[in-house]
Amino acid sequence: MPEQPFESVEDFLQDLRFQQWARGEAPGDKRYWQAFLNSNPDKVHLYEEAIALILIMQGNDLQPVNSSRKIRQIQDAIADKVTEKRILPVWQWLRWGLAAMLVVAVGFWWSNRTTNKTAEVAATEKFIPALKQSVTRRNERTQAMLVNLPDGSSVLLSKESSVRYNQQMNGKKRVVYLTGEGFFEVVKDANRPFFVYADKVVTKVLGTSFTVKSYPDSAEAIVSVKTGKVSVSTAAQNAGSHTSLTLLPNQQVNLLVENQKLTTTITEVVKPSEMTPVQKEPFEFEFTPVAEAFKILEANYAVKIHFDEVKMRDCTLTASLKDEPFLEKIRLICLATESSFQVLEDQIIISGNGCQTP
Amino acid sequence: MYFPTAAPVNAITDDAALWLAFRTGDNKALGTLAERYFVTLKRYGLKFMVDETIVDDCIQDLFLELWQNRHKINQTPSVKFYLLKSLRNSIIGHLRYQQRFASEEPLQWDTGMPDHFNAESLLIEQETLDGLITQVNSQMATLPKREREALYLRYFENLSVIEIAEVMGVNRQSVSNFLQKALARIRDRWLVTMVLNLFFF
Repeated sequence: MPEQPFESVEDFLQDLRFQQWARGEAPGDKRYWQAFLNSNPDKVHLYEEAIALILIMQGNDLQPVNSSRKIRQIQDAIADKVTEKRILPVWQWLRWGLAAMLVVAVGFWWSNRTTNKTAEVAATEKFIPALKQSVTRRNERTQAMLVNLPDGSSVLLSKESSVRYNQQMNGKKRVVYLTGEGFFEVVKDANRPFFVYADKVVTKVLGTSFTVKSYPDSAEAIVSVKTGKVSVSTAAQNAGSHTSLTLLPNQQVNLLVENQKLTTTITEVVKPSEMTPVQKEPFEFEFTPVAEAFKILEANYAVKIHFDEVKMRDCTLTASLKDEPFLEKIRLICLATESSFQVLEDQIIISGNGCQTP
Repeated sequence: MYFPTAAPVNAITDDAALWLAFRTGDNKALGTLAERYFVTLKRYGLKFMVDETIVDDCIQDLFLELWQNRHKINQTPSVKFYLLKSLRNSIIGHLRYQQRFASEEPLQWDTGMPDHFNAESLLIEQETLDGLITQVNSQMATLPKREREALYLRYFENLSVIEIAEVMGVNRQSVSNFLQKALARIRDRWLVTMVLNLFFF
């Protein structure tokens, strides 16, 4: 039996054992409290009042329906982070699958030709539900690294930068968390806005290309637009001005967080000297030999493109690919040259039978 | 002598050990902490009246971020406090973004009550408890949202005033004032009941 004085409601409320009992977490204490109430009839109303208060604070309690499932999801997600290297093959399979699906879709649409990859796609699809958790890609190299996102958009990550995103990216919005700097080329999808959350800025777009730079150890963040229109807002919780501003092509905003104050500077026309190479590159092709086009892509996206130079020597490309994500560029080039492609990490393998010269 | 049950004391040292293990790369330790605090976190998150899926996402992100930043994280005196605080920030971040930074105070506080309480298992008569809850709840209904939250953290989650101040991002004195004010209302009510009892019985 407790010898605690319990002179007021607060005395009950502050007692750990009472809290647990009132929350229903210590049913074994029933006899303990029964004994207390029997021998302290003058304190029954304090006890009752304290119980009522705890129940009111608890309010609408959640039903622990699927908490165990959620907990397992979290645990799996953490465990996957450890074995990230080992699950890479699966991820490669997924990308393979996406590539194959594109090829199949294009194949059907383009020449009504069937391929034997359909079975492979079906097999790959089975993997997809298992890949629900988020993925982090970090660039530990000194040069830029290309990351192809599940929606087909691409990010060119600068060194010491990372992105995190959901492997399915099938929600109402497409969300990418960025640390450091990345050049984004976003697939147009007006129904599903694309968000880049960085530590200082949040950038929202529907489909366009732009650079976000927000290193955690720097007070400055930069968003610079190549094509399309983006809206930028601050990520800071206590920032004074809660505005979002819209940037147009070749505009850049610099946000500087100093002494909790936020200053923004908009540069109307970004000087080419301040652009990253990929931002400057127009990706305009006019009767350009594909070999040359691939060379431009390789230089800008830090990837290696393998193709049969002899077979494809007659293929030329006329296209404006300024606004397309990396994979979309590859897809369109393949479409134009009647070839197909595979993505393996930063290696792109193009297979085609070449183009006929008229 | 009165000793509180041994369980919570063990839980605290155990928390510290798990936290240390997780920081040195044991993902199972973090998994155990996730299991231990999931319901606490979810219950607190849902109080802000955001969608359940958002709360779930925020909790999952919270643990993933902990794992990714494990090398940068320090030992904490209270894991529960650390987790509650991180979740609150993460939900605020989410709401601020959704509301496009429009409102200064985006957080709500759910004051809804369930339809039924099991009084018997708490050694109270059902009628007494129902009556008390109706009365006290109407008294509490006039309290601002943040005071309700302070009360919840103090007496439901058992955080200290210092911890509550840090979770809610206000100074310690304000938390003490919140709690005083809230409890004063209850004391007043109790006095009224006492006086009425004297008159009628």
